[in-house]
Amino acid sequence: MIKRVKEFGTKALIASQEIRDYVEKFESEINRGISTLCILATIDKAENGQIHGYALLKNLEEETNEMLVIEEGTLYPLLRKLEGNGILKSERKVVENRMRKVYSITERGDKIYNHLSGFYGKLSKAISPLLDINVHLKEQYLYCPNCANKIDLNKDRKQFCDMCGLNIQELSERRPK
Amino acid sequence: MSQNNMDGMVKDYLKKIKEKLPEWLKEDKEELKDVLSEIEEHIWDKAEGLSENGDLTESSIQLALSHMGTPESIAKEFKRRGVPKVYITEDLWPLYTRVLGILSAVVVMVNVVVMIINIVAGNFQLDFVGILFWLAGIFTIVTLIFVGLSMEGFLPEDFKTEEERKREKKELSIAEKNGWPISPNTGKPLKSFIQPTGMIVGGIIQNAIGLIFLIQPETDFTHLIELEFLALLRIFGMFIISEGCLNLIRGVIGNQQVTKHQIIIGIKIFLSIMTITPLVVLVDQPELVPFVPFEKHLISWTFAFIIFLAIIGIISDTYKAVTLEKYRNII
Repeated sequence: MIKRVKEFGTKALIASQEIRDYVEKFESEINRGISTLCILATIDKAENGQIHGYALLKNLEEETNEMLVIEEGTLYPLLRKLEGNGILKSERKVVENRMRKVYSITERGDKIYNHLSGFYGKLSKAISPLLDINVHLKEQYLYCPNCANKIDLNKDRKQFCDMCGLNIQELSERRPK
Repeated sequence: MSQNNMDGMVKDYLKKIKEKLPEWLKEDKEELKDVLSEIEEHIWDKAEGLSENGDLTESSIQLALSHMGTPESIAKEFKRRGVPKVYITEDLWPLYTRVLGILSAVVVMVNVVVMIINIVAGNFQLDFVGILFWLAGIFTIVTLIFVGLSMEGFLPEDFKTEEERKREKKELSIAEKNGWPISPNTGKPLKSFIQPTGMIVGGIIQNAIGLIFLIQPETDFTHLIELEFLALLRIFGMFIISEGCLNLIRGVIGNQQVTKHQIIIGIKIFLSIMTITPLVVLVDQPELVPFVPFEKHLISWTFAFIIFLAIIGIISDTYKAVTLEKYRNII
């Protein structure tokens, strides 16, 4: 995300409309999938696992130091799509003295979110040497060796992976409790 | 700045969004109301967050609206439904091909019927250019409609009633519960492609009829029938027995092993093509048919119609063999 373009030197590469379009299109492609994942992560981390649209965007901007910015109006079509896919559910309730539509992750959505976040975590770790960055995956999670599903060992120690059905009991037992 | 002016700014913005929204969303009044009220809530929240002391001003409303993005970009996001496949989304693709197939079949059938009527009326002429013209027209119109629907973000479920949606959901949950095959393309449960019991019973009946044709037990009438016709009956008997055996095998295999079913259907198509030759003989020599008190040309036309049915059967079998592909890797 390139901000305050006009304040920089005119010879900067980004001054070229062609380069700007290219970079912005590329960034938007990267952001598209990540935005959905981060929306789910923000809902997952919200108090009682429920949050309304405005608070969701605010939390997202704060958590990502305003690096991941979603055009506010486009958040709602995205939330509706996730609701239509059975990943989110919504209800109207009074929050901060105002009637609002709050979203939470469904049981099915939780499983899909764990898989997507596991996949993204493992992918980031795998490509980190290429990009000269460090990615640290927290020890509390077990990543399914078959499908990269993220399993929180602090919550429950399952015998089978929810996503692919692989027997993970042995791997799970090897980890310290 | 009065509250009325600020209300007006927000209402004006919401009106513009409403105008740009796709038709499938506008038709669902409740959903539309929910979408707009949620966006409105967000604008007031945002404006409050942007204003000093929490007091709403025209500039804070203006700033909140600019953060929301243009009504076009919001509407565009609502239209972004379905996976793109060429210019028609993957979601609408099966419906597109089905509509195209049905309309093309109707055009071909109508033209064939018109040709037959012309032949009967002694006015024989082949009009393939006319058929091609109709097919090209249908292809263009249907494709343009589906490209438009894809661009507006329509999905197949938008054409269904609430009851149909509920029924499909119920069918899907039953299929998931019982572990029945589900199409990865449409997400719907796949129906059984054969009824094994029906196939076995049908096969047995075909074998019995075929055997009678082949053995031709001696009756009081046998000597009254032309030897050539009896020979043709034996040929038909062999074909019927072969087809009966194939149906028996398919029934025993059941709803599994797609390749074997496709091979058997292939053999059946070959047999059907072979059957056409003796039928042509009967079209050409209707006098061979015994005990039928009709004019010869009527008997010829009856066998010509049977040939036509056989050709339809061949086309239908080919279609079945091709559509069996969707069961591969699922069953």
